[in-house]
Amino acid sequence: MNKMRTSPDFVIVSAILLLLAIGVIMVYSASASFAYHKYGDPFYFAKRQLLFAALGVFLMFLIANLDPKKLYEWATPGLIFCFILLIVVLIPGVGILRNGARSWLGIGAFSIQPSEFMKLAMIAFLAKTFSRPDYQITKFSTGFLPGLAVLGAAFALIMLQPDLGTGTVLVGTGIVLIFAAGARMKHLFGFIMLGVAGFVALILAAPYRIQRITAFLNPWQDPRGAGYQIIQSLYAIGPGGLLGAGLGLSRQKHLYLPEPHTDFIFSILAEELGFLGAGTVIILFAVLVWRGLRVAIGAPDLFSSLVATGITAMIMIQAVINIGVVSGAFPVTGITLPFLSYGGSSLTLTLVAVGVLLNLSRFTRR
Amino acid sequence: MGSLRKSKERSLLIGLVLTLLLSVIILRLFWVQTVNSDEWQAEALKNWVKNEKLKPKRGTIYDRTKEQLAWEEDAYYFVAAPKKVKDKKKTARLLAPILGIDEKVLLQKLQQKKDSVDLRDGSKFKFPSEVYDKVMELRKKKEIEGIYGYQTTKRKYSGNEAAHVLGFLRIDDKPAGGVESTYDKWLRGKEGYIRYIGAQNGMMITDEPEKNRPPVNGKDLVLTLDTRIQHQVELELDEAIKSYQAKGGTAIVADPKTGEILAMVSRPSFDPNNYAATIDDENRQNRAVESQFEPGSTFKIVTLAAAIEEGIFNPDATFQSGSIQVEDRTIRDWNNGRGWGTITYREGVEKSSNVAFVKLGQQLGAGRLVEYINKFGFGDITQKFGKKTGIDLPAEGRGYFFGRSPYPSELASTAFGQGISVTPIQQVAAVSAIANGGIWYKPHVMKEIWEPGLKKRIQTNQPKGRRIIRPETAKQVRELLRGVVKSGTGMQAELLGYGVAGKTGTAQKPDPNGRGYLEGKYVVSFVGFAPYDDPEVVIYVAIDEPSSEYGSVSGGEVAAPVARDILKKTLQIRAVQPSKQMAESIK
Repeated sequence: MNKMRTSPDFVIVSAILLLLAIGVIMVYSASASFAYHKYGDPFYFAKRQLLFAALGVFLMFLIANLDPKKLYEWATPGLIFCFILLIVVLIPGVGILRNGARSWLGIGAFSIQPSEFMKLAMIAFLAKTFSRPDYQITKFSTGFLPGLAVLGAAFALIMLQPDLGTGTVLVGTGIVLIFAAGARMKHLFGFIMLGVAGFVALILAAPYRIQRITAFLNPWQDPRGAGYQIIQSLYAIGPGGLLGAGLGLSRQKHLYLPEPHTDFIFSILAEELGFLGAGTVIILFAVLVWRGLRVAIGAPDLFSSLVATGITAMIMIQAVINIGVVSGAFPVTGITLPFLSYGGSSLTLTLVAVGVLLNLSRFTRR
Repeated sequence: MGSLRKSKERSLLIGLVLTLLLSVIILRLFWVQTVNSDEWQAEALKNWVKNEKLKPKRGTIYDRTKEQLAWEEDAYYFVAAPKKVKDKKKTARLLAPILGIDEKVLLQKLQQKKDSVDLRDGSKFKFPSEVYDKVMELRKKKEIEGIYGYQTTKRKYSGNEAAHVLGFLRIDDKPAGGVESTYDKWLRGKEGYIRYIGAQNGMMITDEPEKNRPPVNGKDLVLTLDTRIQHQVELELDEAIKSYQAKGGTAIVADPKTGEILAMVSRPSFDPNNYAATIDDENRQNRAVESQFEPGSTFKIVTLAAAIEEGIFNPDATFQSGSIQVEDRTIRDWNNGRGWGTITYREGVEKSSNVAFVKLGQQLGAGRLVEYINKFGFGDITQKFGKKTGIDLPAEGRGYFFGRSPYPSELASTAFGQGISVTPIQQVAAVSAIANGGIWYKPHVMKEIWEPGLKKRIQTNQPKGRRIIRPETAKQVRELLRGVVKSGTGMQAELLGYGVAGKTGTAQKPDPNGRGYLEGKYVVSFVGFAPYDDPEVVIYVAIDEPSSEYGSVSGGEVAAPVARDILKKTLQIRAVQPSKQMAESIK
């Protein structure tokens, strides 16, 4: 590995800090009245978001300064550890049941989602595997299939919780990595066909998912039922217009949109800050895409390149799905918006991932 | 190991795809937020804009002493969101004893597949604050969920007295009966209206509403009733009905100088605070204004006044009592036609001789008799129906007449109160005219209308009188009626020192299945006033089908004592001093 160490990519740092600032403000705006009624403190969620953002930024810079070799060394034990956690979380009484899914480990505010850690561990492990000198990704049974098997096992465990949102992000990130590592198109194409069939089977297994799909195709079919959230989201985005209703002046956050500070934070942002605010956020994400991939393209070795691509893809898949859902372009699924949505462990973990990206950016050939 | 170069090419491709996706999203956003923005705004406004009706406070009803008779009280109603009620059986079991609604009825409501269900059963809909507190305590303890309480107001009545005069408010806030009905327009007030941007739960989220028209509260009513007199009349009438095992009865106390009703009672009755469980078709009727029956001898007062006014009546002239033949009909005096031999007309009045009044009626002739009956407010007896007094209470009866020119025998019976039906209030209005010196006043129960909270009087009800006989005539009638109480059929009504005057009536009830009368079924009555020389109060008492072990159930035996007891208390309350001279003269 090349040891030419420079300073990390400050464009990425700036974009992240900007997104975090917007996020804390929007979490406050979206949750203030809800937080006041529930906890007697309008800053309840905003304070926590700020705390986790600070912790995340600290970790981000810490990781940016670590020896990149460590990631390579920890990739395999990390993955095994995450697999153990994913199994443990399924044990009733150990894993915490929230909103019908057993996804959490721990107590109260100190609880974590093993599936979040799995995303990062999977990126590191696949990148390490695919960059091994003797590994031939172009071979079906010894190259393509083993990577897919590890990915599939993690996905299956996550679906047992069940958590379709995180599962989708994990598989999407994994596929991107397999693609970036140079897998044959015919293998990928065949797998995607198989995946679509499996996806359809999953949807048919849980009727609420088919409702979400039909609601997305025609939300008005049942405006009080499954289509409710999409319509309520558009009732925020549409009236926001070009300039927005003004910061703090969203109407849809008043109990129309469920949990406006998590999954639907972007809708509230679009309502209060208009297309100008919403467009700015999307452009910041677009900046992240190119600065992230710049790290991958400028990377001195395949491992670094694949990790950078994987992290960028992971963040972006999540962002695209979230914004796609709330603006009515994709079916509803519970995915948070990176950097903006309220949520301690996912925010911290995303920032850890960015820390890795920044670390790698220091070895970019310019 | 894969190819680094190939990998980087593919990363570039990934970047392009992601950028494409972000571009699609940004275009979609641009579309929704500019081109379609107004459409979404219009749709969203339907959700945001809340229109709410603001309920005005219904006016309070007072008696003449400003004692509250009917008012609005804070109450609560409960709504369940069945989808949020997890343990429906437990919720029903816990709520049933608190709300007093059957557990099964509650469970059935909680199992409905609706967003919200009112927790009501019949008239059990609005509950006092104690019930609200209990429900909220259960909710705090997380014993129940999905049950919400809302504040409203409930009509409350001071008791079950004057039920027919007051009426009541039904569960839908519509009035039923009494002044609640006749003065609903005043009492109800005007509904207000508010329009604002609200949260999904209806909470206003802007500082100022878009439109706000506050409700106008209803006006207060001050009635002519006096609760102290009313209370006494309720007691006395109940006692009489009980001791004579009567079917019902009615009593009215009025101020003859104004037409104000001081007390009005009808039996059987109901409880306006719990009307749903107590009311039926029989007891909802206000007999004082709705019932129509043969007045019997009390009607003789009209014939007497007409005869005096027309100069026909000579108290000292004599006639042969017992019976008299009119066409094919023999009319007998009430003592089975035995009569009292040849007596004066004065004695005829005192003894309530039918023969005397037939003769007076004949001397008046059809024209004049019809005219005077009409003047006294009963209406034209040649018509089918009589005339309402116009009292400010609903469902007033009109009286039931011949519908043609009456035959001489019918005229004869009319002269002593048979063959026609009239209402108690018509008789009270007619006798009041005798009492006050010849002026007929419209009887009424509303005295004044006030701004809410008795802040300012805005209307006074003082109907103009109509002179129907000369004061001298009225005076002579009063003296003759004084004789009836002093030494005639109404002796039981005498009250030491007050000079009661009046007339008794004992009318057989007509057979509803045909012609003729029911054997042994009477409506007995007494109508009178006191003191006779300057009457302060008019009293009317009627008892429906009294029965007694001793046999006699005449108006003089049954109704007159009730009238006396009521008068005693009423005159005390009205601060009428007993006259020493009158107290002496009785001896």
